[in-house]
Amino acid sequence: MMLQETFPNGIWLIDFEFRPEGGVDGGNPEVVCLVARELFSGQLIRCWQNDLAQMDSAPFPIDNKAITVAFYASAEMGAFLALGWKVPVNVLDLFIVFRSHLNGLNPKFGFSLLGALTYFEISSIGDQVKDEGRKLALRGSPWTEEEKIFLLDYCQSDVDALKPLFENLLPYIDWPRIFLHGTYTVAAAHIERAGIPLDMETLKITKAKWQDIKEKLINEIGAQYGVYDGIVFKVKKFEDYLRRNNIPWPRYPTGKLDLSDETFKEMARVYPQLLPLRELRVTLSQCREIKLQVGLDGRNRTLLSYYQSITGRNQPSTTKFIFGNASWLRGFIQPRPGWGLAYIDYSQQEFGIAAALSGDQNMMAAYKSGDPYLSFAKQVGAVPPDATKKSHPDEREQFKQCILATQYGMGASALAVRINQPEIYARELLNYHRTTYKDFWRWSDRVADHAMLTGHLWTVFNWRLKVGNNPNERSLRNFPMQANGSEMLRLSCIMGTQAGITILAPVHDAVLIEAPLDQLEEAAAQMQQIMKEASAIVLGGFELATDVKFVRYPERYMDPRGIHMWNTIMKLAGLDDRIHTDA
Amino acid sequence: MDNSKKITVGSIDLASIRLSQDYTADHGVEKVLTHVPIQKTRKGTFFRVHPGEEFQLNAATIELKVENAENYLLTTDVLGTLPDMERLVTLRLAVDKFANPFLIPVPLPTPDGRRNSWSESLAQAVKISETRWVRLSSNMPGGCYTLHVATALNDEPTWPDLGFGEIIEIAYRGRIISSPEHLVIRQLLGLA
Repeated sequence: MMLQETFPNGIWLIDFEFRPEGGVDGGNPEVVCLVARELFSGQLIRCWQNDLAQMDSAPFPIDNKAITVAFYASAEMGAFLALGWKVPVNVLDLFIVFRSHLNGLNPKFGFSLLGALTYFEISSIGDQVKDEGRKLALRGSPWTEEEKIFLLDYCQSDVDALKPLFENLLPYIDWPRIFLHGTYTVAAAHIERAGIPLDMETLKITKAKWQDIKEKLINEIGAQYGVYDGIVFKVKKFEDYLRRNNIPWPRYPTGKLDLSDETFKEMARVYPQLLPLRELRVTLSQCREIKLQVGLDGRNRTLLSYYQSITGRNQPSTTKFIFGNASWLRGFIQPRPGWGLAYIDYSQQEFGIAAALSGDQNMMAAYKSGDPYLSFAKQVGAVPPDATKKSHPDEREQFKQCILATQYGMGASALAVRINQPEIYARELLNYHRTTYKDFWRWSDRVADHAMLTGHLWTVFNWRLKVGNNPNERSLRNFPMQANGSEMLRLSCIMGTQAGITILAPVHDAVLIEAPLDQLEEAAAQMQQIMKEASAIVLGGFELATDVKFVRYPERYMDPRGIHMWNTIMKLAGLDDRIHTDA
Repeated sequence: MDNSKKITVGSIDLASIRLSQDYTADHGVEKVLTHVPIQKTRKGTFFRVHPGEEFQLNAATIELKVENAENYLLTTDVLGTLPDMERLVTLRLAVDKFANPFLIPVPLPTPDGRRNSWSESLAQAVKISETRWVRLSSNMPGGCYTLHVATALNDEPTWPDLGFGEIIEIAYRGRIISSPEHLVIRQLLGLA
């Protein structure tokens, strides 16, 4: 591509310095300064916050004949929104290019700007200067003239580093798809700016009593199991509990119990009586303190940390982001008076993607039935054609677990544990999947062969995976489902924000939106339509369905897995009136 | 989706930038059959037997039951060397529900036309399994196999994409005896 001819208004490398509103993490950005430099002419723009506040648009071209280049651009787009400026048409995020270029290979110095510069052996200011600059920006005004110059120089050093980085990454930029990914940085900025409304009063009381609550929690929940000694989880006592309750528990080859959260999660599915214990363990490990990042306006805001996982999904902080935390904390989510929330998620997204991308007719028919799990059971003749969720709940559950097991790449032994059946039965179920969905498995084999032989895979919008030295075949097979699912949700967020819908958070295969109560259902219906269109674009015409759950003020958002813990904690906090009554 | 509706983000026509996920490029990868078990029945497994004559072979075999049963195929050059151990069988190609092939050795009647009740019931089962999915279980008091026919299974079996000669070669790889000097013969004759 002839860049100068295609983009005659310039390729603008930019960086903003900013601090969170009021200096409180979780606040929206207050812009401190901007530096922009045009790639070819070298034209330099340096603006301090008071100059920027006077401008009603960016001081450089942002139309379709120009490109705005940044590293981790949602921060820059957040600054555009904070200044009330129109966002650029073409955004190129070098972080996304770099991440995609080396995705799967784990570069030694990571995916930060410094890591990228080090990877290409580009000299840059050291960590120490960067830290100093960041601290000075965060400190807030007033800044001396020297400090202003220092901050502008510091900001410019990042911009100057973008030029060689751009030149090194140029061969790997996939035009024009990279602009679609760039558009997601704008959507991410909108989402990060919106934040998630919290019931601050309940949060403050809970935080104030948290140390006391934790101890009581162990007494309250831990005592039911007899596995804690003070605040320490005792493995021996847990083994006794398992023996008393006749629960077979996975062990490591050494014979020790596998106490990973993943195993606890699995086992709690099979033995629901373990759910409160698992939630307690997660709470105690994740919530030594409640570290949710909340702005002065009572809204939870964090970086979405987009494209941070291999599949391209967001990976926000597990302590600062409310959906990354233990599920009971979601009870703090509460819309403002007069407002409501809608949580809209794709129905069986991975199954639908697998069906559409592999072109397996049986699988597509099962998805379209609206209940792929029951449909699968019908397709193999395990239940009669007129079976329903009500008439055959156990069979449906087993075929559901089989489908989920194939998506996770689970073997017969793990599936046997999950469905609490002998291994031979689990093996038979997995074999049914292979024989019923033959075209899917043929396609899946091609995906694995392609990855192993060529060393890479890609999504419909070219988020790439490189196969490293120690490839995991199950992950490779699963990549198209996960990574295209990620594309689908990104596209939904882009189309949703462009349609004026207030998206508060993307959550794996779902979005949380906000609207005034009288517009909530309409906004949710519009978002559902957008998500349907996004699925059809990603899947070449095959549409995925969505489910919606409403939360209307004064209701609070509640994750079913966290209700028991929420209610226990509210009781211990002396907030009995906030106990979830549908529990 | 209404395909006539062009969906764009900015100036990008999304349909036009969508990359295929077919992964159809031919990388010359094919599954190779490396193991074909030889067994009369597979416990608890429904199977079908290929009806074609080109998938049948009358042969002489020896089964050694030392640790795991080992099946050897005798060529005509060594036929009659070990008359008390040789078994004349018809080798039949079978597959289970999951397209795993195996060979069933169906004992041939003795020269006077007789077969024991186990062999007779096996031969009958094999005949029925040419058109139906069946499984066998041992009926010890009756001295025969009990035949179970899957009345609800109508799907056709998936046969291996190989000729019968190749399948036999895989099944008996390293276990075809074509000379009296073969170690197995020498051992059985007390010569080694």
